[in-house]
Amino acid sequence: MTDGIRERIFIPVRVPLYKGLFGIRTLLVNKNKLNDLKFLTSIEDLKKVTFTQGSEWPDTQILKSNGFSIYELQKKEDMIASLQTGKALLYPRSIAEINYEMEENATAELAILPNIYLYYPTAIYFFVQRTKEGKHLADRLEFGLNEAINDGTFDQLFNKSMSKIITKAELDNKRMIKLNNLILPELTPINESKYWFIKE
Amino acid sequence: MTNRIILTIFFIFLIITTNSNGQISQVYYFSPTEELDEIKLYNHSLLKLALEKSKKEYGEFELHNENNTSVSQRDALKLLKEKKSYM
Repeated sequence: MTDGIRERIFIPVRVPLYKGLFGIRTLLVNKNKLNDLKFLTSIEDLKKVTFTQGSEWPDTQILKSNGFSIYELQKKEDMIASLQTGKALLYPRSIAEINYEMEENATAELAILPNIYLYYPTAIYFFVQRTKEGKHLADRLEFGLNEAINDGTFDQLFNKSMSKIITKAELDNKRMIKLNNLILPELTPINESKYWFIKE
Repeated sequence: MTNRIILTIFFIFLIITTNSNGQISQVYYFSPTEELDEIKLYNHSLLKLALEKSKKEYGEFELHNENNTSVSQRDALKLLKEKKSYM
């Protein structure tokens, strides 16, 4: 995920490789509490409960800046455990990783909240060395990625690789709760609709 | 750093070499160890696609996963910075 520091150290190729999928966050919960949590339908409801996230994750800053309470932990297994103990009720994960995480923790009683998901704009880029040669390569990659977007081959690869994940997320059956991402670098091409799965 | 999201990036550097056919861009990248195989494959495929699509304007290329290994994000950042010195 891009951020200001990384963009200062390296050269970002500002074409979002995942079309913003990592900002689509479905909510992992303790399966036994699923019925109690279905009342969560608005941003105000979500501000009344505790989330868990990694203490160093940019997502933690994003959620905090949107007014959410975060139980911060270091290890993912502890975050899963916090759902079991009730110290946290919601564990947002991107749709690109949530299925893997559920498989990895098959013995934990996990479920995905069926009625809502969070979305904030975020981008994952190729990062290149900040050198003369790096600039040349970054220009080349930006050119090549845009060529692939324009001739449809980027979307072919994206759809082939991501369609199962997207289908499984059942986004059409969930309400999107849109959040602000205050740490998104200014130069993120947020208005270039061709780059994003969820259009602004 | 254990956040899979943060790790979903490739760090790339470039060395230009020449052979009898002209310039060849040797493109090296590091793929973070912690990443899912599917994500690594997608990133690799996109990188290759971008290089292929720019071949006409920028020339031939060879794509290498540095040392054919994956490294942690922390090591990848360190390695990428160090490469500045020998390029």
